[in-house]
Amino acid sequence: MPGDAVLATHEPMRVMIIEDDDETAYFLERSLQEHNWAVLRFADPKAAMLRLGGEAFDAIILDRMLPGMDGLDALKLLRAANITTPVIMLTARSGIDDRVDGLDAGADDYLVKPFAMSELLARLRSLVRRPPIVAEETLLEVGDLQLNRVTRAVSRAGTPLDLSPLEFKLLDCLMSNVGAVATRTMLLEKVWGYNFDPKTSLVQTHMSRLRAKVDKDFEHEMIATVRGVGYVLTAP
Amino acid sequence: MSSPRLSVITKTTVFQLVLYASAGFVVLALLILWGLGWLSIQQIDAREQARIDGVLAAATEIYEEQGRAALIAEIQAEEDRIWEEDFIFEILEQEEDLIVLRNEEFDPLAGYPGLHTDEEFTFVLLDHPEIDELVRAELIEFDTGDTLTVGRFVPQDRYEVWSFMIFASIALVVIVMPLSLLTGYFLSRNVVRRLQTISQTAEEVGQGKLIARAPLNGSGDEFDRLSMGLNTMLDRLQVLNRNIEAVSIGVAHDLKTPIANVQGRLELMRRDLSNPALLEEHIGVAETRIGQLLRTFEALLRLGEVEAGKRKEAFDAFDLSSAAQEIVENYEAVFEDGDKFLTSQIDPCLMIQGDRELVDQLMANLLENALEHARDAAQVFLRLTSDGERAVLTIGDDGPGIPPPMRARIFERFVRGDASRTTPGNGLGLSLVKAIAELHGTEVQLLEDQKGAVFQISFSKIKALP
Repeated sequence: MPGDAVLATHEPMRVMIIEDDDETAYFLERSLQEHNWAVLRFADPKAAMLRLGGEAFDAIILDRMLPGMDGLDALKLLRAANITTPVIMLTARSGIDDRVDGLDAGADDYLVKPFAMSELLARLRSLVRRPPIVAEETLLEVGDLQLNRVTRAVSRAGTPLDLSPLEFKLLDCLMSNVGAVATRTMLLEKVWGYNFDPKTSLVQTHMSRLRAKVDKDFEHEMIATVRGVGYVLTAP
Repeated sequence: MSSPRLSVITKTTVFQLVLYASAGFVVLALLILWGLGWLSIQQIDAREQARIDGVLAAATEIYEEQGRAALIAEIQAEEDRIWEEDFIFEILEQEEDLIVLRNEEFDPLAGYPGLHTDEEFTFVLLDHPEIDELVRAELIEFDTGDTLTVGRFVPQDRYEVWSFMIFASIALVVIVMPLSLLTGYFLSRNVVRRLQTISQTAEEVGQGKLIARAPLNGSGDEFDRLSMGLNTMLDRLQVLNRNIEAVSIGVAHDLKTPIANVQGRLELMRRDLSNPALLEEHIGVAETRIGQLLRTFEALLRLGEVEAGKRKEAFDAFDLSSAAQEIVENYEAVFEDGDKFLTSQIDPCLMIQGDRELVDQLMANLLENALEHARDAAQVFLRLTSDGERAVLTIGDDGPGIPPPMRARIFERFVRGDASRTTPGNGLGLSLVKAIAELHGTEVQLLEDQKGAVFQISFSKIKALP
């Protein structure tokens, strides 16, 4: 998985899992460990929060349905205690408002069960590596690719590229996430704002057009497809 | 319709209201009657008093100015100083005055000696063998010791007023009360009957007969309106119930089939443990099926959510034209890749009240439907035009269209075109389109006489913000 190599050379990233279903926890722990995450799992939210008070983690995976406490309430308590660790909320609830409720309560991302492990890994990585500054920068640069958020000008190696508004948004998303995989669902959410999954290859279609414009005349292909997972933009 | 029991009828509000109203009316009427009667009698008494006073005054004048003999002369009836008993009958009939003048020893000097009173103003009985009508009498004493008594029979009209009042009071009570009881009874029996039909319907429904409806009697009165309201509610219940039934049927097939498939592949996996290539294939197929299953579940949940109507609370005004424009931009490329053509004709700035995300999904579902079912190289179009108060959205293709037997059923759950039986998809896309349209207070129509499948939804426009 792209990005793994980068992480492997450093200390493993630490993730806390707060999940009461043993089966789900087993699945999470095994997959995360295989991808070089250090995992600590809690079934009881109160014990988890005590631990978080004393130790720093790089990410938290929090299930919404917990024994004795709504995951949303646990999250609000965390945020009230000034714990700013990125949180991905897991839930079986897929109601239209549920995602908004989760994000409002302080979650950084919200994933509906069941999900592909690659989806979770991609989102985790995106959360953890996201430097907060990127959100406000006007000029994004990766290798010889430049994107100006104010003028909407995009160029590669000095040559201007003519992108449609959708393609611009797609590229912005990939560049903000450089080196980490963006899954189809992540792109649907960020670029289209859709919380439903269209049957057809909406993302694929527009992505292939974008790639044609960005990569065609250049030797190094910056946009790569990761089969079964999504797309990633890498510097040459 | 059996006649309602008496105990039920007497308990009704209508009956009791009628009773109280009647009682109140009777009391009021009695008060007025007696009040007026009393006033009449006062008037009569005053008149009589005035008459007596007049006679007394005149007689006093004569006595004092002309002497006793002159008064006697006035009093005597023809030749008799002392009035005969027979004369009194005339007095009674003609309502004339009775007079008697007495001396110090109370011997009658003139007039009728049977008239006695010793008080100022009283009713007395005459000392007369045959007459027993009451007389109003008054006595004055002169300085000489003579006394003059003047009396008048209680006039006939005084008796008449009294007897009228008594008669009317009795009639009021005797006639009005039973009448009001009867009126109350019939009125409330009617009400109870109307209500009974409604509660009977509710009972039938409660026992499971969802098709029962409250009958209307066509008058459009409050009971009819209640019945209509109840019927509308029952219609909705029936629709929701039908949906639940449809889901059970859909579940039986469209959800259990992929589950059964996965189970089958798991069995095969166990058998093919030593064959990694086959194992891969089984796992791949199982993953695909599970994915389909999940999408169907999500779609069903979304459908349920929309049909339950809760989303209506979050409705807001948005620009349908720009939403349509965005969808077209999204899908143009996809259509090209699929060797079909998407064209659009969108009137700008058409605002509607609703849920933008759901309307996006509605348009996406219709476009994807066209993508899947339209012929190769089909011309698919999206039109958004203004028609008076409505914004009309039309999405359609130019062939091959939906076969007539399918037309009535395409919006039902889990219904799929024959050609698409093997493609991914769950037959819920159009159900969701229908549910979203209905949530927005409108409906999706499949237009007739078109070459292809053309769907139309018209929304109510709202005024654009300045």
